[in-house]
Amino acid sequence: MQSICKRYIAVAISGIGLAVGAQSALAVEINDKLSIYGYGHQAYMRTNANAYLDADKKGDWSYGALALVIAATLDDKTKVWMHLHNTAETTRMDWAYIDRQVSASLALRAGQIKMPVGLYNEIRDIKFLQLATLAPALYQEASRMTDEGYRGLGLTYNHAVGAGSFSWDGYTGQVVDLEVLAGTAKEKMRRMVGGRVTYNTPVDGLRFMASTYDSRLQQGGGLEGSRRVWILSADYKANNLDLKAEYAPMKFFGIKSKTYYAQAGYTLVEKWTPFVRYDYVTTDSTQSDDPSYYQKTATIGVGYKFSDNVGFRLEDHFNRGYALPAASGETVAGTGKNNWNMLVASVNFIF
Amino acid sequence: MKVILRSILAAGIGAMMALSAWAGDVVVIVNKGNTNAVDKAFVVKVYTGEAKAWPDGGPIFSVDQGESNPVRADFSSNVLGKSVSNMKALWAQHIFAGKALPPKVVDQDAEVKKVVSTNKNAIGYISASSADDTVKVVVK
Repeated sequence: MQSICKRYIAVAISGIGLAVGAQSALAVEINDKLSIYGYGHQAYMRTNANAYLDADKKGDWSYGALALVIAATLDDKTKVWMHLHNTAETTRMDWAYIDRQVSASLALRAGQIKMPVGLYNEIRDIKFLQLATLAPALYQEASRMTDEGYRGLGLTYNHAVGAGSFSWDGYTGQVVDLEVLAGTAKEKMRRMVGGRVTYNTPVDGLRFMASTYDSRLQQGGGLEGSRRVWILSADYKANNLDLKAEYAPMKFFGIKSKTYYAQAGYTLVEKWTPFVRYDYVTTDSTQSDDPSYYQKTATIGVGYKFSDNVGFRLEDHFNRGYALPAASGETVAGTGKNNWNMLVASVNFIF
Repeated sequence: MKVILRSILAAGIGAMMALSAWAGDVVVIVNKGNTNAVDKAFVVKVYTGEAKAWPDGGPIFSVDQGESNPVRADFSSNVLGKSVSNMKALWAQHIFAGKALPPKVVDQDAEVKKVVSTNKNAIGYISASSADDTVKVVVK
């Protein structure tokens, strides 16, 4: 395991070197038809109490990833996208699909596709493009609120309304790689359907979204249930200001949960971006007074961009309650510490 | 004191003159056979990844200029209303979300004109002084 980690870190460092070397150019263009892009991050995490994301009181460097995005243009209207994702534990294909621009307004997709949910889901792993290294609870696996991708069919339809525009995403298929253990039984996703509508307002940088998806799933023993998620999002990004807020209730096998957050960042001299966030999640609304089932997090941090491709970030998360460590199974419910904090430092890059 | 005031005034007038000259320096061009209606708002949609096809359904082939080329900085700030750095961040979002690929980058006005004049679906921008009858100017 240690050798895998060392090798992975070496690869990540090579990637950083590549990104630094390629400061002004995004992508490796093989020819007119084929481009390769990449991103990665390597983070140090330390908690002062509850174990979470492999981090403990001594700190841990294992939170990292390196990925390649390959885009091939088949013809004027058709592209194939593929995404290879490497972590210390595994290398996997996150998505691979064919994308056809049918008309000026309509595009169709088929294959294994990133799920268009909320503001961050499609870029949840690309830390360079986010304010904080640790995503809002909505996008953390432990909250079970969002899945990364689906296998199936999707469409996007755009149309203008006055000075603004609407973008509609619809999709159906099967959720990919949901490996949630309920006791010893693995849940199996059967089918899902979802959609997202985005209103790009006439105000530059201001948009609103509503996303939802509904999936049927089966636990060991044949017990069937469903998961339904709603997400309302608001986003303003202009004039060096980045404001985001999202609210998401979910029903999972009859258990209601919810999360919301608001965050703000401001970029100074195109380099420094201090940011703050308040995040709330409860993994079972009927037990929202129990610290094993709720978590309130205040985050303060700062990012620094060495270039348009490489950045560094330092952030501290002050938590009350430990719903996410408990949901992840790294901290046993009832034994965690109510007040705790998590320090995160990371190097992020894209090329 | 008067010298300082004069210097500031001169610098201010100089900056305003430079700005007004700069504002008219970049023109957006398309192929001469392109009959689609193109205005500034549509150009913004193309270069921010929102529009991928012409109103008649043809696929858009957009062309950008190199980052070090001052025409790109002029185009970004003057037409798109964003810095080159902000535009790169926006395209990074499109790329890594698997939504769209950025415009093809070529180095000089002459190369942009060559691409646009030979591809019916192409759109690009050049300095106004480089415009000629091989291409059609749609936004000044």
